Amino acid sequence: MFNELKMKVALGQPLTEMERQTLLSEPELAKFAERTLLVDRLADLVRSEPIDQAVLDRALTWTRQQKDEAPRGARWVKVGFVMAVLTILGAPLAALIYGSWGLSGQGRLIALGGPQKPAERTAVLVFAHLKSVDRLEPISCTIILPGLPGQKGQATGGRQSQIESTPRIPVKFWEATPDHQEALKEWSEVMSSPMDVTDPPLMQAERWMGQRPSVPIKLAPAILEINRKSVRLMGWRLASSQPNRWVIAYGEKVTGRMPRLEFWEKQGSQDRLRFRQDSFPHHEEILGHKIIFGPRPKQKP
Amino acid sequence: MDSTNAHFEAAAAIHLRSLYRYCHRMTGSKEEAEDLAQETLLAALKEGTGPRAEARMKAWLFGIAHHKVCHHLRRRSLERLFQAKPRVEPEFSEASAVQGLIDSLPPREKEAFLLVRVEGFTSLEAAGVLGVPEGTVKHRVFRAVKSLQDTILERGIRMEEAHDVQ
Repeated sequence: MFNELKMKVALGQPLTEMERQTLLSEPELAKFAERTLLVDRLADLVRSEPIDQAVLDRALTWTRQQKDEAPRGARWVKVGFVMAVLTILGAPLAALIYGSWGLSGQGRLIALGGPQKPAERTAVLVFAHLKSVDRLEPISCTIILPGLPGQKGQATGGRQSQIESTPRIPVKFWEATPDHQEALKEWSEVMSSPMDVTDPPLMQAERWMGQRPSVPIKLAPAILEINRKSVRLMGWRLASSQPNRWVIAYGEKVTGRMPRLEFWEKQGSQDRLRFRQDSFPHHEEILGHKIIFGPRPKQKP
Repeated sequence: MDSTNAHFEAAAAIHLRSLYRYCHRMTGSKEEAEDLAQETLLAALKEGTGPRAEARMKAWLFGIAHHKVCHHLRRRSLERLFQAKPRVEPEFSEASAVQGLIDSLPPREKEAFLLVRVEGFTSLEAAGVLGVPEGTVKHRVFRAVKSLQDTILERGIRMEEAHDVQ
């Protein structure tokens, strides 16, 4: 009975006359009810919290805009070129990939960001979205070895014992269909363009669009996987008078950090994602370098 | 604008303030609350077939908001786990006595308290929003009230003072 009464008081439910009498006659219940008044006051305070009407108006306006824009954002994966860089750390895996399959198109790495060097062997896989099969397919692989800038990309053969102790990942980048080759060509063109990935993000956007971005348009927050870590980031479309190129910057409102930039281009009737930059800390050692795919440099005998 | 959209926008305008308040108190951040309220509206708008009755519309919107908030809090806790430095949340501070009290509650009790005692849902409606039995909601609200009583007395907070801080 007491517990039921306490529950009613706690829930703010109306009491009968008899319950009221019981409440007043029992010191413990009376004390509970009196203290609940403090909580009621707290609830009143929360309820009467002043809320800026402009915030609410903004939310409604944004929702209306997003409803119209949503289809374009939702199909981004299906349209055009999608690039993903998968970083796999660890010498055994690098040895597995390079040593057992014998890459012929080893990438050259040109240092742009100073003398930093990767601490471990790193395999960078580039994926492209192939329309013919409607999925992401690996098109290229690069091995980064610890060493001085300019000497990276020199891989040594792997040892069998290391290979056997490493979990195998089904990387099929040797499947060079015409679609793979076309995607690789596109990727190479993008990566050999004069874009310095070590630029501050907005300077990059400026360079891509040909002018300083203006009027950022807020997009729907997105759940992104960056460096195998899921994060929720706000998206802003950085607009300019250049209609064919734009940048979508994903960032955190609080810190202002923009760990992902997407460089979009309109080609004909299609919006194509031409390049994407992720810059979470684990990627920075890679992004400190410009990666150019080309013929493997000749090694001294 | 078709009639569904017009109906939705009218309902959204009515309930947006409550949605925002709920999100704010659950996250402790106005920025995040704004995003979550927006996401809720957008999700509801995309769904497009919300109930037309006023009371059910509110519960429906709060159900969506509840999922958004839960998802957001889970992700935020993971993010913080992996972040070397804790994120600076200027609004999420000790300065707000009211928010401090609300935050002293465990998340499940907090959401039940906010829905029933602040937003005026019945325990049955709140159960629908949270997807738990009605008895569970009652129990959580009771525990929240008890816990808040203790915290208010322990901290010696006068509610008038708390309002000033707001």
